[in-house]
Amino acid sequence: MAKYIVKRVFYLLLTLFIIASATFFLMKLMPGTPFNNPKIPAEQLAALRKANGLDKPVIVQYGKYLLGVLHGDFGTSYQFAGQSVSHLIASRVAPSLQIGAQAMVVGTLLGILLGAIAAIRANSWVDSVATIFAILGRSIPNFVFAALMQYWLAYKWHIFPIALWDGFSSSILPTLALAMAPLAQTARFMRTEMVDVLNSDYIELARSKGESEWQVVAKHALRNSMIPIVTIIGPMAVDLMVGSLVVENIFAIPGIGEQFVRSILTNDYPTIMGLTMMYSVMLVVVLLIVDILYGFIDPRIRLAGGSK
Amino acid sequence: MSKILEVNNLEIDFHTYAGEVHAIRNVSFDLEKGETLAIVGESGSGKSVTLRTIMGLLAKNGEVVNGEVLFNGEDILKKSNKELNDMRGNDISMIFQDPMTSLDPTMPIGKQVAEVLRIHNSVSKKSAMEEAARVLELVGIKDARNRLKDYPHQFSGGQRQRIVIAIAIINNPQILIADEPTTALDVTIQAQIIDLLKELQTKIDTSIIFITHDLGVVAGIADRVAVMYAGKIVEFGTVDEIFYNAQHPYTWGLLESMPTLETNTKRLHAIPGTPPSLLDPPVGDAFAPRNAYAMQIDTEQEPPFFQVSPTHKAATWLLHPDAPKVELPPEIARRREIWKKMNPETKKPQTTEKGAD
Amino acid sequence: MADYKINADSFKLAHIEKEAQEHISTPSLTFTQDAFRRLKKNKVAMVSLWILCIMIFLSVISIWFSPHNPNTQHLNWNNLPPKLGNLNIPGFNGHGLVRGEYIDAYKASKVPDGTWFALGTDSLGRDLLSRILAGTRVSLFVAFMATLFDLTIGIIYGIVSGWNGGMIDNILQRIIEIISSVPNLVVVILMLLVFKPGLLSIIVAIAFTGWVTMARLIRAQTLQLRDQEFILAAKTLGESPIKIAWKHLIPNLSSTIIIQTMFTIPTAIFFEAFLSYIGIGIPAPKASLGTLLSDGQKNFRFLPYQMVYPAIVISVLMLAFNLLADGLRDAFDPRSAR
Repeated sequence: MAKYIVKRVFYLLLTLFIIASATFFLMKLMPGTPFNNPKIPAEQLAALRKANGLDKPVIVQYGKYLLGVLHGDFGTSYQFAGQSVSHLIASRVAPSLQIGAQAMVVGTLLGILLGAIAAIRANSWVDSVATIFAILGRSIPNFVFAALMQYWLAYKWHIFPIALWDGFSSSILPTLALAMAPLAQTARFMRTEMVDVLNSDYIELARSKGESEWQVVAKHALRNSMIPIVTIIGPMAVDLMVGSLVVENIFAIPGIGEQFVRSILTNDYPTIMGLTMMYSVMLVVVLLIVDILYGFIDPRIRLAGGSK
Repeated sequence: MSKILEVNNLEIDFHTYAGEVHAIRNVSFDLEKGETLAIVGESGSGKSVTLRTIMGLLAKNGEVVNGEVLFNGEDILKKSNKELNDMRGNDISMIFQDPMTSLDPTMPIGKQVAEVLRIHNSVSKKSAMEEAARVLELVGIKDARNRLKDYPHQFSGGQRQRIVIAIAIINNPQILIADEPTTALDVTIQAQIIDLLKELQTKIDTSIIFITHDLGVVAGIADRVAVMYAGKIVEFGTVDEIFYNAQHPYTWGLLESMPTLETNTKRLHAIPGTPPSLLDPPVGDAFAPRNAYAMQIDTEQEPPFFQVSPTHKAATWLLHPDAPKVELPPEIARRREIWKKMNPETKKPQTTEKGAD
Repeated sequence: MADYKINADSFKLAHIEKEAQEHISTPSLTFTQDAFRRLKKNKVAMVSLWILCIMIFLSVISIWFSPHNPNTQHLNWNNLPPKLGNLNIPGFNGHGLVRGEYIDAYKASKVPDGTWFALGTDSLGRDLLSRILAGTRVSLFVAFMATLFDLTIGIIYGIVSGWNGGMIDNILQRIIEIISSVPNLVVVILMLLVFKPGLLSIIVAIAFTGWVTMARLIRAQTLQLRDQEFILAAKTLGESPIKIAWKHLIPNLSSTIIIQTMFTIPTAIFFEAFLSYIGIGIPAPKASLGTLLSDGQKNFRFLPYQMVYPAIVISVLMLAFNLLADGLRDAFDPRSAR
């Protein structure tokens, strides 16, 4: 197991290195910088370029950039003069994490519940309702959800604040909008897994032991169907990151998603690079944790890994 | 001896998208206390469905159309879920076909064995675990006390089947149902499991219903044998009667296709054709299309049971007094010779017709 | 005993034909035939298929038969509410709230009689229905093209990786691992920043991340198929790898490919809408479902219909694709069917 983790961490670092390099060179290819405004006088432009280190050869810039990345330094934002990118990100990461985590918890728990009920009552009306719900959650884009909820629940009925980042109540609507996709995904996955498990021999054996249907589900079926859910946490994290870009925009949440979109629209390259790295780090770390977690909760993998 | 289980006129349909499948078509048999009954037949002949019905574990799309299953005189089919749960794993328990998939992969085996004890008895966790270790030793898991915390995948197939058996016998059930318990195992392990079952039967004094498609396994364990074909029992008798004095052409086919030490034929006989679709069971004898001895009447009317001896009956028109004498296949003729030596006083079997209802 | 009619012929041996013994009572169907038979029985999937056909048909035919020109601006007639001829249906009678008063907006804007906009007009006075039709067409085009790229790259990559195994497989898998370590949207956004925004760059950007899933699935299947007897036989007979791939692998991969394609299309529709929504997708004045949603969002509180109709169209489109994909998956993999 330890050897496996070391190997995984090595690949993780390699991956991040490649991503860092790729973003750097992509940015070098980009048309335009905030400084190609023709109104800026030549000397001032040269000074700006020098201040941002753009006058050095590309390879030197690259080396400096990589060194910086190692220290968590992505340079200064073009958009907010003088503000370092890492500061900018740090000041905005909390709301995003809060909403992301809330959406993840709500989505997975409700999804597991919905999927389990659908599987236990397979082919009944409960199953149909759960399936319809899951398919709607998957089919309606989250920004449409977000806008509709904002219109009805906040603007028309005044149940929630429209768009103001102020305490828990303002995080409810964005959380719900974000949770839709993971909920649908988990419910669907859980239902498939659980139907399989409920048809398995060991469930038949549990029934033949004289366990009630409730005991069968609680003691055997739930755990066995929930273990593979861990594998979709990775894709789910991606969904959440992507969703946060628009949801934060719609609800005017001062998070990194909203910042990312703004940086794109203003060609703020250092911030874009910093946020890309940030997203990648979060994702690879989540994937690594999921992998290790999976090994720990599934006895078959845990022990097989231990003996090797 | 007293009858512990009686199955009378059982008929079961399955609702599938293709239509009604008549999986069990009028099956009756009984089980004596302490005996081993083998039910033999091809896949899809209805053996497993019959047993799942006895356990009250019929699939959701299955429906009992007719019949009763009397366990100690009470009809299992009329029991509530609660009563069924009290019965399962306690009075009647079951051993499954594939030990590789029949244990919960995420639960330590000690807990899985102790669980069934704690469902039906009020015992502490600790003493349930001790009892589990004792029973695991009994079924041949060495050093069971130290392996209670191990998971199923840490055991071999044969060991896992022993664990499944431990789960089945820990509450000293009156009936033990074994659904092809050796099919998924290596031949050498098969013999060990059969020996274990025989040994346990005497130790805990239980009746066994043993399903298999392999007549060879039956010889070693069964007292009586029921041969099933296409959802019906076609021949029923003691193990000697079925092996040496079989009357139904399907039983002949099964015997001929079984390798024995005595036969020196180069090729094993195979029964031609495939079993009929039970969506639309054929008129007459369901086996007729595959039967080299089929007569006109076989394609028209279903044969009733003809009583060969008090313990032996078979559903084939060949036993009708008007039926012509047919030349037996060589293997069956050889077996008849042995039968004559075993029972020198028997004359030609006195057949009487018994209504097939 | 009386139940049985026994006559002289009853006990004559019957001669049963050999064929009768081997008779199989259900007609034999190939796997694909069987799958499509199951699909046809799936009402939800068939309804979805019809909805999709109608939507595709309408969006294509609107190239020639559009109620209005989708790009013609009538600045005087902006933000008109929906009106269906002279039918007086609430919501479609041309009435709307103008400065707090519920009036006939068409009269107020001096729109001549006989001119009407079924779903109203946008902030530049363009006919919303025509724009939705045109936008649907663009969204579908982007989705289909991106999926086509996905398919081609994914299948080739997957087969090459799975078939060769060893070193090549290892390297190709590491590449996939790295690509999937970046949220796909970030990759798409970065690519869009590098290329000039436009139809082609959107298609390329979406395709660039989408093929990974397909490649993974195809590789896994190829690995399984590679060791099967019929492939071994073809190899032994000296067939070339390309011929084997074409004649033996692709047909066996077809169900995976069909199902995955059907799941890729709605994802691509979503991505296009998403990118246009945040402002880096299809450039104005071209309409796509995403740009329409983005425009509609700006006036959403006051003129909700401008967002609601595109939202309905995109949701129905995604729903129909997803339901059809589910149906196909159930049809091709009966084990997963409910």
